[in-house]
This record gives sequence, C-alpha cells and structure tokens, in this order.
Amino acid sequence: MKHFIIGIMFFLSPLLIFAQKYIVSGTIRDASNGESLIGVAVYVTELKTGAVTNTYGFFSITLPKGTYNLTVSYLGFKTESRTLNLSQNEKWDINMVVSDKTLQEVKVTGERKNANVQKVEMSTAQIPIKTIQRIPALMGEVDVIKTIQLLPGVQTAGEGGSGFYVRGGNVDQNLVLLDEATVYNVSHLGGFFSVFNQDAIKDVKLYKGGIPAEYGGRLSSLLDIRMKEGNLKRFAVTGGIGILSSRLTVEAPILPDKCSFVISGRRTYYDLFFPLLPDTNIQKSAVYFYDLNAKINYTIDENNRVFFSGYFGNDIMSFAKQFEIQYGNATFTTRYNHLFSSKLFSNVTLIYSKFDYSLGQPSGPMSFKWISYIKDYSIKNDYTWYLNPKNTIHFGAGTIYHIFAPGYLTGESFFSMALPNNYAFEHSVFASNEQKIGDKLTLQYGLRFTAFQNFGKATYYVFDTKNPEQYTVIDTLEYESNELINTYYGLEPRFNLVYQINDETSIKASYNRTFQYIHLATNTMSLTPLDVWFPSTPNNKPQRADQVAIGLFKNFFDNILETSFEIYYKDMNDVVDFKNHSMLLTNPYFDGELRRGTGYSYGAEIFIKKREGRFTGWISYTYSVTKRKIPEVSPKEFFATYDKPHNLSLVASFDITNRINISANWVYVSGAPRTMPTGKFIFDNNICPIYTERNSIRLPDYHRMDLSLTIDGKKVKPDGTPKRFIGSWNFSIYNLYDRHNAYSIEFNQDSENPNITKAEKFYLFSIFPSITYNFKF
Amino acid sequence: MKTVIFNVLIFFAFTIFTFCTEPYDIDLPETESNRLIVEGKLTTEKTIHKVIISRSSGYFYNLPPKMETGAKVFITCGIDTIFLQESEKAGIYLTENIAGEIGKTYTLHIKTGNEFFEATTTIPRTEKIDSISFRYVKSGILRIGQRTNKGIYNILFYAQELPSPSYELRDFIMFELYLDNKLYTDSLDEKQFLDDGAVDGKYIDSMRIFRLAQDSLQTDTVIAKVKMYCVSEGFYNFWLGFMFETRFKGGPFSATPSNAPTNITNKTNPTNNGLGYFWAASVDSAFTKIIKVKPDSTQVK
Repeated sequence: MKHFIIGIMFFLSPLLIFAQKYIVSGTIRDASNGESLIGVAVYVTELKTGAVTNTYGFFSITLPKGTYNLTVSYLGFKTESRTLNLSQNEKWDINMVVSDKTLQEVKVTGERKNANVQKVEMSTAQIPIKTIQRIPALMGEVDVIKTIQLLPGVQTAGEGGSGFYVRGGNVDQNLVLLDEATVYNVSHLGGFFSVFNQDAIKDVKLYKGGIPAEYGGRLSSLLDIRMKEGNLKRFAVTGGIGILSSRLTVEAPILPDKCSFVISGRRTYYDLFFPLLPDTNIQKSAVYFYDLNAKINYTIDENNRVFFSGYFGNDIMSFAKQFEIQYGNATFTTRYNHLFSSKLFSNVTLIYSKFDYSLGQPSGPMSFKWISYIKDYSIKNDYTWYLNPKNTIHFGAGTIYHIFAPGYLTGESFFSMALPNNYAFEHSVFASNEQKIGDKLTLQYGLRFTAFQNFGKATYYVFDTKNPEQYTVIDTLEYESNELINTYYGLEPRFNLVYQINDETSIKASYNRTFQYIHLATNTMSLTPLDVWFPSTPNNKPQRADQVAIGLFKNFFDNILETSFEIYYKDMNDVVDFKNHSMLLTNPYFDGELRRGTGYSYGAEIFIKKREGRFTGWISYTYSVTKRKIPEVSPKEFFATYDKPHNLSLVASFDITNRINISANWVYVSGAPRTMPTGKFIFDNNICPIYTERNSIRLPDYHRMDLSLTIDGKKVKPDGTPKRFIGSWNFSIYNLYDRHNAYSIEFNQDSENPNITKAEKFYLFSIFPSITYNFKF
Repeated sequence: MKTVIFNVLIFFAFTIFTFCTEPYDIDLPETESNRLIVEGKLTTEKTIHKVIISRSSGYFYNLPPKMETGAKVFITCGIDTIFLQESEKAGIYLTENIAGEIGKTYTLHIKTGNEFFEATTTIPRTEKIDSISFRYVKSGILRIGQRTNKGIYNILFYAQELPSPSYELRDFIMFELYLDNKLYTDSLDEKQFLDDGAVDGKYIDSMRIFRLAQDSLQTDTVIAKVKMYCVSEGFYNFWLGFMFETRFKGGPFSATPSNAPTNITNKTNPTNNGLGYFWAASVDSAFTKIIKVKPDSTQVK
C-alpha cells in the first residue's frame, strides 16, 4: 500500500508545481487542403524544448513569461517561425505550405528531424501514405498492410496475404483501428487486398511494443490508421484504374475552412467478365469485393470540432449459385474534440464496429445460410493535459459492449441450428504522463485498468478435462438476461524511457503488460473469413503478455540516415490453441475445444533508413524465435507456425527525374515450420499419414524481388501555371525473377498407384506484372 | 453440416487461390514406421466379422503394408469371449458367424510379440431408414473440382431421426452404398457420415447422401442398397480426423496436421499405442431400383 501511495504521489507530483506561465496553442494544417498534420514539431529555441501535434493536429506549450522564437518544422513543408513576446495566452493556428521544391513532395516522411531518436516511444513505425504508394505492389494494389510487413518485427501471414504477426504474436493479437473503430478482418479476397483504401488514408502508425496506456485489448500490437478528413479548400478527385480494381475518391468543402467531406470507393471487376466465358457455371458465379470510406469533419468554432467517419466493405463469392460466401466489416465513428482550455484537450468517441459472414447454398431444396457476426458498441472519453513543457498527461476511460453471434442457420432445409449469443462489456480506465527530466531523460509511465464482464442470457458448460483429447460436459449453467456471469480484471503498467546521449543518439527502453479478452477461433494455417471471434468466459481465461524491449537509436549525416537496433522478449500466458481436429464452427461445446498454454518470443531487430534525397529506402532485418507450449496439444514445446528466424527486407526508391521514380524491394524469410508426416498406414483402402512432432520441419526459405516504375504527368503547364489534372502511370512486377516460393507442401497418394505417396510444392505466384493509372484533379 | 462447411472452405480456397504445383523432393524422418495398425468392425448383422492388423511404414515406402501375422486375437463382452482365427490372407483375422448386440460393450484384445493391445467399443442404438430414392439430374458437381454434364444420380434418404436425450448423447451415422449387391463405396473417404446435431428428432426428407456418375451404372437397371450404421462418437471422430488428414485438405486452410484419434491402446508400452480403430455399429438398410437415365424415382424398402 505504501508503495502504491508513493507511486500515486510520483504521478501527481507535476501537478503540484505552480508558476507564472502562459500557453501557446493551436492547430497545424496543410495549407493546400486543410488536413490537420500529425506529429509536427513546435520548437522553442531558447528553452530547447517543444511539443508535437496530436492526432488532431493540436499542440499546446506552457511557457514562462518572456520572449521566444518558435519554429514549426515538418519535412516537405516550409518551416514556419515566429517570435512571441509572451505576456498572455496565445493562439497560433498554422497553415503549413508545401516546400517549393516539387521533388520534395514525395519525400515527406511525416516526422520531424531526429524524431526517431528524441521521442520517448520505441518499437513504432509511422508510414506516410506517400511512402506506401511508392512501394511495388502485388497486382498494382498499393497496400498498407503489405508495407508494414516489410518492417522489422513483422512477419507475413503468407504469400500475398494481408494478415501479419508482430513479435511472435498471433494475428488476433493485433489491434487494428480505423479512425478508432476496431477492424476485425483486414482482408479482402483471402488476403490479397487489405480493407484499407490508399486514397482514403492519411496516416498509419504501428506499435510493436511500448503501447500507450490509452490502448489495450490485444497482446501484441496496435495498428492505428487514420482516414483523411476531407479537403477544406477545394473540390478534389483522386482515383486509379488497375487490372483488378478501380477506386475513386471525392473530397470537397461543405463550408469553406469549416466543414468538409471525403468519400472513397473501390470495387474489383474481373467477375464482370464472367458472363462472357463459355462455362455456364462460371457465368453464374461471382468473386468480387467493394468498400466505401466516408468522412465529414466540422469545425464548429475554435474550441469544438466533430468528425463522422465510416467504413463499409463486403466480399462476395459464389459458384454457380450452389455455394455462396459473403463477409465484410462495417464501422462508424463519431468524434467530438473539445478544448476546455489551451491546456486541456478532450475527445469523446462513439464507435460502432461489426464483422459478419454468411455461407451456404442459396437455392434448392437443401438451401441454407449460416450467419455469424461480432458487433461492438463503444464509448471513449480521453483527455490530454499539457501541464507544462515537461509534462503531458493523458487520461480517460472507455467501455465496449460486445455481442458475439457464433452462428445460426436459416433456410428451407430441415437443418436447423442456432448457437447462443455471448454478451460482454470491456471497460478501461487509463492515465499516463510523459515527463521530461532534464535535457536528456524522458519518461512515459502509465497504468491501464481493464475489466471484462460476461453477461446473460447465456449457457455455459462445465467440462471434465481429464482426457485432453476430448473434454466431456459434466454440468450446464444457465444465466438469465443481463445477469452478471463472470468478471476478469487486469492491471496493465506501461513504461517507456528515452535517454538522449546527444541530438542524434539515444537509448530507449520499454515495458508493457497487456491483456486480451477476445480471441479469434482459427485452427488453420491461413486465416479464413469463417474464423469467429469469441470472448473470455468462465472456461476461457484472458490472454496476458509482458514485453520488455531496449534499443539504440542513432542518426547519421544530419538525420539523412536513421538507424535503430532493438531487442525484445515477450512472455505470453493463457495463449489460445485448440485440440487436434477441433470443430470450431457449429459447435455448441466450443469451449471444450479450447486448449491453453504459454508462449514466448524474443528477437533482435535492425532498421536502417535513408529518409531524404533522390534515393530513399530502408533495410530491415529481424532475428526472432517464437515458441508455444500447449501440453494438451503437443507434449513438447513447439515453434509457432509463423516462427521464421531470419527476415530481411530491402526497400529502395530512386527518383530518376522529378516525374519518374523506380522502386524495388527484396525480401528473404526463413521457411516456416510445418507438421509433416513421419509414417503412414492403410485403413479401409485409404492411406493416412502419421505425425510425430508439431511444426518440426521447415518449408524452404522464401525470397522475392518486386519492381515498380512510376511516371507522373507534368504538374505545370508550359506557361508555368499548375495543372489541375495530373495523371500517373505505375508499372509493377511482382516476383521479378519468378521464384516458385512454397506456400505449402502437400502430401498425396498417386492417382494411378495408391501405394505411392508423394510430396508436392504448392505455390501461388509466378512473375506477375500489372499496370495502374492514377489521377487527381 | 460439417461436411458442407468443409466443402465451402475448400471452395473458398479454390476460388481465391489458383495454386500451381510441382513435385518436391524432401527427406522425411521415418520415426513412425512400425506402429501397429488395427482395422476392426463388429455389427448387429449376423456374419463373419474381420479384424485386419498391419504395421505402419515410412511415408514414402511405396509397397503394400507389412501385415501382422501370428497374433492372438479375441473379443470379450462381459464373460463371453470370441476368438478370431487368422485367415489365409496374412494379417486378416476372422470370427465365426456372429452378431453383436445393441448396447453391449466389446473389447478387442491383440497379443503380438511381447505386446498386448486393447480396444473397447459399444454398439449404439439403431435408427431406422424410412426409404431411399434417386433423382436424376442432367449436369452438376460430383465433388469439388469435378463437374459433369453426363448426368448424375442423387441417392436420397428419408427417415424419422430419433430425438437424442441431449446434444452430448446425439447419434452418429455412417452410410455405405451397394450397387447390385457389391460395395460401391469401398473406402473410408467414400462413405458418408452424419452428425445428427442439426437434424435431431426431425423427419429427414430427401437428404442427398450419394452422387453417382452415369458411368458408374453398368446396366440399365441397378439395385442400389444403402446400409446405415449407427456408430459411436469415437468412431465418428476417427473418421473426422482421418478425413482432415486425407480429404478435407483445403491447402492453406488446413488445420495443423495431427494423428487421427484411435482406440487402440498398448497395455505393455503406453507410449507406443496402435493406430486405426475397432468400431461397432447397429445396422439398417434400404433399397431402390435405379433405372438408367429416367428422371422418375422408384422407392423400394
């Protein structure tokens, strides 16, 4: 108790310091379109201190009375300076102008100089959408998720796939937020496309560790994606026509400088050609997706601003009207920013998020439809208190109401089944402080308290777990509507530290504990849209992880070259697995399929990035080990299916001229471990494989090179005036040297001689060229 | 329902991923090349029942399996003991002309070398077939990835499913198809299974259980017989595991492989259990006459 009180006093100590001080605050925007700029540095020359804009472009600095030179810098924009004779609070809204040098437009890194060294957070990556757009893309579809897969500590879920694994965490251990709404399935068409439309996105930030106290609910990472706000200055259209899909974005002011909207849509269209094919079944088939992003922002006055944003996407696959699968996400976010004072920024968010799928036979006497979904309603209120130049305090609370519908059948057939829904609340309260101690040391310490409550109406089963191969039900517990069934609590300390050796060198450390109360039921090697989310229950404890990381950050050549070296160790408890040959769909005894255990991951990550000049890019190397111990699944500790010890990515982009860019990337990844047969037997004229150890034999190593050439249209007319319509051609080649990388190794009987068994390598792509035309006006 | 979902998953895999394949050379350890394999069956039909005993081999061993000869094999049920004699075919052990009884528990005992193996199973209650029929369609899908325009005969099933006392005590059913009294579904992956969880207590009306290609009918009129076995949940799980490892493989959407469950335990060395299954079932059957390329069905029970 004594330590707790001392801790609270330490936390509150900055609040007890008073002096004659004034506040400089404001919002920083891009002058060309009115979009607020995130992470812009506002620097006070005399005090060698400053502030950074938050995700809404807001900053606040508290300074003693006096005269100061303030500089606002953001790479790719003209630096803004102002001398302030501070004797009262000052409001300074800044519209930053893009640098005169046209070439620099493509080099905007989204970070201030030496930001990677000086900021307290570590294990993060912030990628401007313009960087993502230069990276060669599969089928010409620029993709946020595939770009972060090129960063250290991130493993891909498979060739061309949109799933990702962060520092040994499973796919469901990533919290993916789009304008603060949870996106439960990030993939279109089995993962070849992510759900994030490049034209609708403004900013992408990945936290692999050191996750701020305001975020939680997943063990391993946070991918925070912010949508564009809409052009406040003029009507603008952006679009692209590719070989598989096209997209169109329209944005415009509704009230000049106060209110704007953006709406962005995509659809694949190769199924539109199916009716032209000779096969009647193909003619009746469909494979496509579409999605729509929309946002409105309205600045009511200088202290109040609201945002409404939403996403809606659907994948539809059907074959000859015999099978049909549909799945998609829908999110809706309402945010209200309010400035209580120049020091206190608040945000209230209301969020709706849903992922659903259905499958079945759409017609005929056996027609049926199996429907499953997860739905969230949440409210969040968080505050940023710019107490003084040394302390910035975040605090807030939130609640999510989850509805899990594992599935029910509808249709004409005699089949009937409805698995009962689950209902749960997930509450959180957090507080953290970023505190500068002297010139060199900055701490960020915080605490997040979470609680997860299951509510009725529900049915839970009590299992006899003596036989690990088959739990049996020994009791059934029925709960009434709104009856509290069970509560789990979690206290999640978060800590980051940076010690700045000099302007270009620092050492960082972080520790965070995270709890995860909802989980993805998947027992396949690749994700499917049929994987269902399920809650922690009396049978299913929450997952818990502790991660520590330390790193050395060093910049060279006036921050032209950034480097970092990080090592981490992550310990995971109550990780979820499933019994062998588990049945995760249509199973009322789903909890009885769960098996639990522990896991750990450790690794070292090297990142070298050249951020300026005509030649930019990065080298990323990760060495990592990820293991699981699930005694009821495998008696021995085993490698996770995504344990790939060596992961090297080279990304390079070269501006041949102001309008022509060539980019390439090369990836090398160790082969993933798989369970392969070590014997076979015959039963009723079929050959059945026998296995010994889980994930003990590896697939061959993976490597691939991609190339892209982008030719931008002229941006100015012959008379020197800017052109309104600007086009751009992108030519991409995926898998340039046509390597047949193994997606899986399959073992099969020979069709002619059933005694013969053989191994076959399955691969997805040979060399794959594509072309995309992009435009904006 | 589970089979439908597996089919949809496999369809999803085929729809989204157009895989290319090429032969792949890989050296696999042969750590599981000498396990005892048992394939045993006991039903309520009065007949000679057989137990096949063999040994496993390395995965790329391309010859017929090594059969286990000279084993002592018997089945016990309470105080009754049924001895099996090794037939002329190596590794095949036969009973006298006997029938199992519903509700009774049978234990298979095998002594081979210095090791004793056992497997226990119970014959579940029986379900009754109302009738079967066939319906001819001109074109359709025989199985995933195999479409035909030469006609398909769908074998349809009718029965009043018995209500189970609870979900955990539900029934599991296996179907076999005979054409002109010859077993047509002569391998485990061709038999059909039903977990009655989604149809419990309902009248099953024209459920398609088999699809026959036109060329599978050798004559203009064929007598089709469906045998329905009520099996234990254990054997159903063995079939499910077996199918996971052999047929329900959707490429990237396959689960982590693992051994099909077994009830063959090694009493001498519990770390070296056998594989395969000793199963028991109650049986009912029904017939229909299939007249080639005529859409009307004839129902005969």
